[in-house]
Amino acid sequence: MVILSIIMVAAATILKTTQEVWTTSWERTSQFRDARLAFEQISRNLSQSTLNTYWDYDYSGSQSKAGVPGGYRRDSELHFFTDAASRFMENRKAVTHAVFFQATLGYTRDESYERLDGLLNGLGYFVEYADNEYGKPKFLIAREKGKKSRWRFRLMEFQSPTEFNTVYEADEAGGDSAAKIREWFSAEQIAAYKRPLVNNVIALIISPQLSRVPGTPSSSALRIAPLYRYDSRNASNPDTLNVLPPLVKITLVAIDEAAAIRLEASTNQGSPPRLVSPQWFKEAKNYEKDLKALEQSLTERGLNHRIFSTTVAIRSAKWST
Amino acid sequence: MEYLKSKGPCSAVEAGGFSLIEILAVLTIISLLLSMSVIGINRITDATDLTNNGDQIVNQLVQARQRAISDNAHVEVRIYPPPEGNRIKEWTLVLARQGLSETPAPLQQPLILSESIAISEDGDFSTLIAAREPQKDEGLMHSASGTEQKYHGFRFHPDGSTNLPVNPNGDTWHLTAASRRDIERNKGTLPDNFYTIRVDPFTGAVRSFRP
Repeated sequence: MVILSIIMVAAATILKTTQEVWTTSWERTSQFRDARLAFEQISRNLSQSTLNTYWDYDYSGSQSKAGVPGGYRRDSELHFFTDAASRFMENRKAVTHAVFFQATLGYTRDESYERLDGLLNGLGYFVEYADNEYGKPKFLIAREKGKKSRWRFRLMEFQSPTEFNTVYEADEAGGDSAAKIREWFSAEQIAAYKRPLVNNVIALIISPQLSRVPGTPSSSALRIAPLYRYDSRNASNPDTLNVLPPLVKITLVAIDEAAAIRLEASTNQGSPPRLVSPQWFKEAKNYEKDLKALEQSLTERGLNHRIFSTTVAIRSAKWST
Repeated sequence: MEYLKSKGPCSAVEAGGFSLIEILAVLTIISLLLSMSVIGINRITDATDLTNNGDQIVNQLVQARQRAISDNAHVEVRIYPPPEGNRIKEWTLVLARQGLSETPAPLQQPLILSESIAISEDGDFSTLIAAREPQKDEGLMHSASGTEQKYHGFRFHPDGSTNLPVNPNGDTWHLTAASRRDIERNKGTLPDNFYTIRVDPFTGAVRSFRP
């Protein structure tokens, strides 16, 4: 009897361990597979961003007189914008960087536009710490009221259908403020057209860059966005006004579900655990150092993670140095 | 004689027989246990049916989206309620390839749900059924009596998205399947065991929820 009990306990222990190992490895592989798919989607869509620039009379220069243009200038009504999310998004749960741009993806909810493949959409990507209520039917939310939500860092995608893309409503020449120009990705717009792409992405780093000219220091490629900020409609920076960055380095850091569960257990519901120091990823020249610090911090905390990084060439960038 | 007294079959006490009361008591207990196990078995069968049918609906929706993308076509998902007056109450799911000018053509054999499973028609539990006006069939499906049936439907576009608009109630687009017995017994309340399937109108992604 005793021997039988020992064998039973041993068998149960082996079964439990095997099950745990299987679940952990399955979650790990599927988690990172989803993160890779999301990463490829960002890269693909970002490479299609456009400003559709054109040349127009310039009435703003010193040589222009009343009604007589002083020359030509490159113009566009579209917008490419990237910065630290905390600097411009009202969403306090958004962390690291965010990017918003226009691309001709042809996405619409109006069936009569369906065959128009070149329709313009507003797109954006950012990381948000949020619960799992997005996309849940109302009756399930009501049923689970009072139960603990699953809070996770999530990579979010904003995609406004072409009929709700308000980018053409702003007119900087007409004296519109920066807030008005950014209204196409206002908090209301984002709330209406955002969706989670993948869970457990803790950082998104967007670094617009120039291609490096041989013989020049690597830092020269970073001069268009030394602080990770790029606004194609910022009139005070003529270098980047109405022009797309030729290259954008995208970095995405993902942790696995087991690490996320551990993190959730160690923090208060709803308050994001501080995984990325606010001092990191402020200056593009410190990118390697900051990434190493983040990696080291995650390793020290025992959080299994993976870093995806690539540099995307934007096809419609018409950059001349 | 002594032998007969001690071992004889006529002696009930010595042969260890049962009285009528004892037999009745045992029979009552057995019938009670049997009826309890039948209820239990019914519940298990319903739960298994629900899981199988729910999984099949999810597979059909995923397949409809895949076909729309791979064939660069519009694929319509048609959900037919059981025909009125039919003794057998079966819900049916049909995938139809829908060209802009062509007549719709079924892509494969329809999925007929088990008779023990029904889709809730409640406005909260199945917005895809309750909030979508039933449409006329256009000759794709006929009931046993030969009359055209009405269906609730939506389409997957070639890019994987759907023609579902933003739900005016701020809710998602979903349907909930459950045991027919549970749905008929608890009208307006959520059964203990259910299978809710949500379709993201934006991406066409299908997600399921279980209790």
